[in-house]
Amino acid sequence: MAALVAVSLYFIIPPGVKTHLGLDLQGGLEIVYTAKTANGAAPSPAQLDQTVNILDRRVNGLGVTESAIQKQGTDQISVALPGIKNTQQALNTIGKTAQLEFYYDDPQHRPVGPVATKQAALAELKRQGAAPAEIAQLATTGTSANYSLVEAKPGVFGNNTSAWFVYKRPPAMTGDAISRATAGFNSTTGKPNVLIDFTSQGSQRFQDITRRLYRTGLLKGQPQTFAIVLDNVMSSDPQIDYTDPGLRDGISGGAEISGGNMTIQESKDLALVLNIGALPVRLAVAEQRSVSATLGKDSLHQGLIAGMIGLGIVLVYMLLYYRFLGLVADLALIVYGILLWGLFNAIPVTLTLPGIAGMILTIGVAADANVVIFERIKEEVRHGKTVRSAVNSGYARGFKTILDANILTMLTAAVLFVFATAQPKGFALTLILGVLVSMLTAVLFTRAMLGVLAGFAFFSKPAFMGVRTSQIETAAVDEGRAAASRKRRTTSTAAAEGDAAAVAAAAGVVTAPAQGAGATPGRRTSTSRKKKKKRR
Amino acid sequence: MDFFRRIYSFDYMGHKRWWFTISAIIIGAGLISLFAKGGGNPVKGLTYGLEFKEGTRIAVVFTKPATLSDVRGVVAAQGYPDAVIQQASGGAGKEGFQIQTGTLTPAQQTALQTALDKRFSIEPQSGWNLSLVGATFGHQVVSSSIKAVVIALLLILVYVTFRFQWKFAVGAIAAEIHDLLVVVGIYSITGREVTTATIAAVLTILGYSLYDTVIVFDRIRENQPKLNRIPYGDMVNVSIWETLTRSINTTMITLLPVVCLLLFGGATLKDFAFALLVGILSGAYSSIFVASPITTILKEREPQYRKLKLAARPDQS
Repeated sequence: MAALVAVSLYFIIPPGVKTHLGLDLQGGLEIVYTAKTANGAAPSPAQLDQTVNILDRRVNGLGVTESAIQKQGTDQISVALPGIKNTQQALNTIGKTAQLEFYYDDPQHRPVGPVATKQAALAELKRQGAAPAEIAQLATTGTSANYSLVEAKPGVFGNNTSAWFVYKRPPAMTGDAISRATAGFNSTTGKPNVLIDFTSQGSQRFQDITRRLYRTGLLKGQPQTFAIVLDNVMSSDPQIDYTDPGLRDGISGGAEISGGNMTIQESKDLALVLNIGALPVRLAVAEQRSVSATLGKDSLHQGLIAGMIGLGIVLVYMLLYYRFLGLVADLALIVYGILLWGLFNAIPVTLTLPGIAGMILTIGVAADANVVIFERIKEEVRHGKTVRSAVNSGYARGFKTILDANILTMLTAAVLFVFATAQPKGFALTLILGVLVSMLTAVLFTRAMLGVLAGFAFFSKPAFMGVRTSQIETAAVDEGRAAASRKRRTTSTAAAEGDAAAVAAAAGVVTAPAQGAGATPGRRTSTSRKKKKKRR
Repeated sequence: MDFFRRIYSFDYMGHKRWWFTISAIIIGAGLISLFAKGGGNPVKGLTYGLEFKEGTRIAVVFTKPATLSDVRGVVAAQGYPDAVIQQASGGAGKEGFQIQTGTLTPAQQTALQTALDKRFSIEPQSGWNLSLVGATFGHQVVSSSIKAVVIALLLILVYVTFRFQWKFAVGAIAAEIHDLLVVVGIYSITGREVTTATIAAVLTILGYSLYDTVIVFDRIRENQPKLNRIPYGDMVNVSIWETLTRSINTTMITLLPVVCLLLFGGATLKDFAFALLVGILSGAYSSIFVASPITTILKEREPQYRKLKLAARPDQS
């Protein structure tokens, strides 16, 4: 036991440093994403795993330490970013699908556009005879089996207006072909851009596309364009200059994404996500919570203060009610606190606000265990057992009760842990650990203390058990017992006066300890009872 | 002091109808409130927190003076005229507001933050706390909670049947459902917001409110063979008296920290604490006044106990 406490103390000291605080206590950003495939279906487990992996690399790329990315159910991923300052940047970067696509701009590949609005684009596609289901799909996710809805922000295609297009899938080329993306600046405009290097296969494909555009341009006598689309937003629409014979064989090196008015930060973030690769799924924010560091600190302080006051009141209550036994219980409670805290730090469990609530509730649960044992011991003492044997049998019987009660508490906590969403999970985990540690304390500490104390002469006085202090309660039972024995002598009196319940009490209390002698008074009691019922 | 003496010798099982009436009144009031406030649909009779709705909630603190209508103006200009905006505490010399809108995309969040910052200067340390819930999230919370409640009740049923007897399990489950209904009813009557914290607390109550019930049942199980000459109800009474101090003390000791949480904790902790407070009180009540009487009624149908009961009360056949 002492070793356990020592180990716990090792994990606790210095306090505050070794405890893992949740986002709600130290501030940060928490996002829960719901994943869907591009055409709206549920993701496969492999896709979800891959997504977690990619998100993890993206988050690391942002320089966030101690992030936690977890699958939640079959289609959700929760991302916790403690202590992050720029939440908007993180949000924009992490959840991006980063699906880079290249499309030809000719009418065959681009059935619709440019038009001014999304509705107009969809209406035009409908007029051309696309299936209604596909149109509905495009309206919600932007991508269907055969089409992609693409928006060009002002400055990319038109000058000051956005434009909408529908492209035919599959694209001429996708982001798989990228070997490396680098943030840089455009040499002529000086604006931030991202330069893409292709893999050897990608490079060839890109050369094919650009060569074809050069030739078409030459034939038509008109410069041809192609679109670079990132997550359904056109990032640029470069032109292949057919008058430049240098482009006769197409472009093989790489491409540039300029994307209107990127900031330097945005270009860096884009390069990051392009390097790591596109997500196999699309992520929608299901839940997002950002907590500032100060708010977290306040919550932590409030929780700790409430916990300390609660603990203090319970300590005083136990001491006042159970006197010397109360002292044992108080020591047990302090030991419990140290063990629980140590365990939290050792695992480590991330302490959240609901976790604090769970901890405070377990203060009560841990003290309850002692109450049940002590009441049982007092009862045994009242029944005339010596203190030593009362401690033994009281502990054994009391512990059995606690076991049943605690198993039920843990069962529900376990159900909560399995089925609940993030926040109540922390609460359930704390509760389970708390109940386990409280049982451990009851077995290892309370029992040992009582065993040792029972050996001392001074301890064998019932007064130390607090039996005298609880005279108010025992008096009632004693009185019932006394009244009953009085009634047993004169059955008629019993029938004439007193509460029926008191008689039953007498029967209970008297027969319970003295089984052998119980037969006669027992029968008499039920006789008196019978008469009295007639009176009613 | 007379009251304290009486509770240790009171005929609890003889007054079953009283206890059932009291529970029925409390639960009935809750149900009426649920139906009345929900306009006939009890599910709508509760005030749900953001977790159950779709939308964004922003707690913002400004360093420059701002009035409610100023803030409303800026938010409306950003395209959210339907936003719900409330004044909140912001600390010394600062203005705090809570803004609720539909779900905002990251870009929309940035735009709103920039617009508000430009006009009122958002406090840089802790001025921007945002939580957002998508459409499906609330449904998930509700469906997973209902699943959790049903599974928890089944497990309790199995465990109590295994450790005691099915008649005890029925009493325990009745007490559980009683506690659930009381908590839900009180949330409807008081109009308190139901959050995920509330749901966690309610599920915990399912486990914890059995604590007192198990203490009483344990004693009944122990007394059953010893006190086999008095009617079952009387034996249950004796068991209750014997465990009453224990039940009162365990309830008190659990309530004390919970009350501290309610008084000194922050908003989330208060949510937990209130649900726990109501649940623990209801759980303590139901162990004596719901679980025990129902088990007694079931047990008194057994031939041996019916005989004892009839022997004690020959006039009631």
